[in-house]
This record gives sequence, structure tokens and C-alpha cells, in this order.
Amino acid sequence: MIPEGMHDVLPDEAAELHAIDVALRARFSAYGYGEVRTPALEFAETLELPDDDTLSAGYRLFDDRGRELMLRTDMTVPVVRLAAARYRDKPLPLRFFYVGASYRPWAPQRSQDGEFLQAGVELLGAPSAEADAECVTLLCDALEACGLPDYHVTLNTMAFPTALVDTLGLVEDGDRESLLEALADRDYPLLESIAANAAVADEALKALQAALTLGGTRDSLAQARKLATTPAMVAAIDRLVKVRDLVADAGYERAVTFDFGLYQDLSYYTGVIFEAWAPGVGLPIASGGRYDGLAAHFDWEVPGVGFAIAVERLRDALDEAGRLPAVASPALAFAGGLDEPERVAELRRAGIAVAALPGDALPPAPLLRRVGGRYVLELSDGARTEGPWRDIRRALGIA
Amino acid sequence: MTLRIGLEPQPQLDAVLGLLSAAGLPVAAVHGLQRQPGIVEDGDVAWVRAPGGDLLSWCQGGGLDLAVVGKESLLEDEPEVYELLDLRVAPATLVFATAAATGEGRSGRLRVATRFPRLTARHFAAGGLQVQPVGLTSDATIAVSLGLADGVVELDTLLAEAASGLVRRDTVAPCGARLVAGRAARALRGAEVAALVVRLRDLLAQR
Repeated sequence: MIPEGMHDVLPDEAAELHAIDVALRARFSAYGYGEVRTPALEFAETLELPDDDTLSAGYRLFDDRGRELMLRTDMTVPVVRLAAARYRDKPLPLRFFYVGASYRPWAPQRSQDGEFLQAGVELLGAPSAEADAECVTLLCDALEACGLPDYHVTLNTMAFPTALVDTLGLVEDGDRESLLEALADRDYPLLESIAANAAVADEALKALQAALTLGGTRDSLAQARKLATTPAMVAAIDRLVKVRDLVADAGYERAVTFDFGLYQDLSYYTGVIFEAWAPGVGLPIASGGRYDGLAAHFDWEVPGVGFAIAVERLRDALDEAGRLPAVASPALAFAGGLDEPERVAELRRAGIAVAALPGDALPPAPLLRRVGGRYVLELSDGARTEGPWRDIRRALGIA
Repeated sequence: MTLRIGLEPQPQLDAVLGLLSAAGLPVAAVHGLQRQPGIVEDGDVAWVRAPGGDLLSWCQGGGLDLAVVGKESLLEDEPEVYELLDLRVAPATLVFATAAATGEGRSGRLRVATRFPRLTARHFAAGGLQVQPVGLTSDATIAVSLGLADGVVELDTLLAEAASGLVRRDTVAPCGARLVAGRAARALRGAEVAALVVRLRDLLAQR
């Protein structure tokens, strides 16, 4: 028995996850990111600093002194905590990557496992559009390095919703809040009725409907520009376009779309936000964005941007696309190998994986067994060799 | 690629299908769906008929691209889907109703039978009345007849149909058919979904 939401990983899947892990690390390193590892357990109050419902809902326990601990609910807060403590006086920007498990209470209706593997980067101390674009570019690069043929990265900016409500001429404070809430809940009929009841100009309401409806299409950008009547909104959309152009320059134009209905559930995001999606996987395989206020919770005024890839979902996406990494062929089972340690060692030195077994074992192929003074080799593809040891060596390609 | 659309087996299914047909979707095959849950393909569309809660789960999991479900299911499950459009068919109101004999001044908790236990708990948590939601998957009025509950939270249209003799005490929420899209459909098939929404919006504006 294991707790709900937890899962075991068997050798084949573990090998696939490991291959993905290796490919991701190589790309993160290629962009100058250094690996950090943080503990699975943090003080609960650390993870509660951003005051976010998702981040605060974790597995909790007490240490031997009665202090409240929590299994980390994401990696960004711990990495920023680490950077604020250890790199406060170091030159900026800082580039960190991580690969590790995070933990959130099991929620089957949201396909949320209790433990999930995340691989991601954090770029701290770089406020520019170029930094946003570096993260989106690295995300595309990393997904393609894993062999994912077909995916989309949707972009939006958290500045859009807040700037948007400023343009609608809402007078009541309650209307602003309910409108933002409806946007976060993706409840567009409610959003439209709030706007209509607040006597928002017809033109603005139409543009708002269009900008939200046309998520994922180029027209949504044109509609969003129509809504951009304040300098804040013009700036937000210009920034988004600049990021898209930089990512296009890096060779990933095909992958990138806008969605003005995209809303990140984590409250620490402040600027550009993005998600990656792949066919056949119902949840984003990666998500990220700019979080310029997060380090301030650690009394460190440093902007940040980053993303996390949901490694298990990426594995599912590769499976859907028929592009799972090739897993090494199974070890050769050597029936009688326990009686011939020197031959087992010889095979292993030659790079052949061997499981040494007793003589009376009857394992499936690939199988090597001794019959009298001769050997029989049966490979997984049905090929069979019978003869003295030198024939076996030749069949296995050992010089 | 096939567009996968979920439909609830609601009484006003014909009105929903009329609207979708006018928007250019091939709906003829849906009438041949005898079983529920069931799936039937018609041209580029695969129609799936199942209860609203199931449709929303499948939308969240990426198995369905779009669905037409009652607002009551959205309120109950609070799923992470895009609620794109109020189709303005099958309008109904979710109401709290009790047997006529249940006095207003009754103290203690009321047992409320409903297909929407989470929504019911949320609704009454905000007010003064203490209720104990009794979750059911079918007609809640039966539970009152059997003496298992003091009242129900159910759509007024269904209460009228059941001729239950229950007295309406409170409005819980206005409901009706909504077009929803899964997050994956929005990200991966945004243009198709948007085109359909634009056509439906135009049709609704003409009414």
C-alpha cells in the first residue's frame, strides 16, 4: 500500500525518464545554467510567503522541535530562497536549473499527482524582454532536444488583465475584482455580463470578447491592440510582441502563439507568462513566466523569470508522439553464470549487461546457458547460436 | 483531425443541436445515439453523450475538445476549462426547495438531497442555514418522498416536471447550457474553437 496520489516507477519508465532528464540537463547547461538542489522539506512559512493557495496547500509535518515543515509544493520558491540567502552580493544575472520532485495534495479531478517531477530554470536579476525570450527559447530547445515533434507555446502577460480593467472605465471597485476573478476562472459569460452591467462601451466589450475568444490565433493580437488604450497596456503588448519576435529569431516562430485568456494559477507571476502544450496530453507540459516580486519576500529586490517542465507529462507527450527515448535492450540472462564468474566478468568488461543466474534457471531471451561443454545463446530477436565459447564471443561481437 | 464534442442528455438537446447545426456542425448522427454514455462520428466531429460531470472530466483530461453542459455542472465541479459562451438555451434556475410541512423556524440541520453536494455546501456555508448535503446521482425529490431528506437543491425545470409538491425557498444560481473548451483544445486547436465561437455568437446575436 502507498498513499493516494503516489506512484512507483518501474525500470522501463525509469529509464525513459532518465533519458529525458539527461537531454534536459544538457540543454539547460548549454545556456549557462548551473544545477542547484534544494531540500524536499522547507519551513511551511517559507512556502507560504507568496500567499498563494496552490503553494500553501502541501503535505505538512512537524519537526522534533514542533516547527511546521512542508514538502516543497514547487521549485521556484525554494530556488529563489536559496539565491536570496547565498547569492545576495554576487553579480547578476544568476542562472540556475533544477530537476526534482514537488509535492501537492492528490487531486484526481485535476489529474494532480501527490508527487511530480519538475525540471526547470530560474533566471534572476535580468528584467529585460531578452531574458523572457531566453526562457521561452530554452523551453522550445529543451522540448525539441527530447525529441518532441509537435508542441505549442502560448504566451500572455499578467499585465494584460490588470491593464485591461483599467481601460474599461469600471467605476465600482467590486466590478474590477469580479471581472479579474471571472478572467482567472475562465468564465467568459460571467465576465461579459459584469462588463455589460457596468455599462462598458460597446466597442470595448466587443474587442474584449474578441481578444478572449481568439485565443491561440494571430487575430487575438490585433484585437488586444485595439483594447490597448492606456500606456500600460500598449507597453504590455509591445513587450509580448518583442518576446515573440526574439523567440522567432532564435528559430522557434512555428511553436509560439498568443492566448489572452491564458491565466497562470500561481499568484507570484507579474509579467510575461507562458505554457507549453502537446497533442494527447490534457494538461500543460510546461509552464512559466516572470515573477518580479517573489524575491522581495526574502528582502531581495531582484526580478526573475523561469519555467518548469512537468517531466512525467513530457514523457506522456513523447509516448503519444511515438518518440519515447530508446531504452537499452534487456540484460543477457546467463543461466549458469553464477558458476562461471570469469566469463560473466569478461562479458561485462566488453560492455554487455549480464545478469548471472543459477544453472537451472529458465529466464526469457536474451538468454545464455551452458549445455554440457557448449553454450547456447538465444537473442530477443530469435537469433540462436550454439557452440563453444569462442562462437558466443563472435556472436556477441566481442573482439 | 476529428473535433470531439460532448453533449449532456438534457431535455432541450434539440435546441442545442439546432444551434450547433446552424453553426455548421454535422449533428444528424447524434439522434442515432441510443446508449448513454455513447459516442458517434459524423464527418469531422465525434459526438459524445454523457452526464455533465463526466464531460467536464474528459475536457480537463484532453479527451474532449468541447462540450455543451449545464452551468450547474460547472458550479459543482469548478473544473479548469474555458467557459466560452452562454448558448441561451435550456435556461433554468437551481433552487432550494423543501417539503411544504418543513417549517421556516425549524432549528438544527436540514438534510438536503442533491446531485450537487459541493455546490450546496458552498451555497449554504455563506448563509445562515445549516444543511447536510446528501449526494445523489439521480432525481433528488425521491429522497424527500422516502423521508431521507428535508429538501432538495435541484433545477426548477426538473422540480416542475416531477410535480413533487416541494415549495421553493431560495434561489441558488441561474443556470443554462454553456459551451466549454478544454485547456488543451484551446492551446492546440485555438483557431477551430475560435471560429465556432464566432459563428455561434453571431447566431445568438440574430435571435
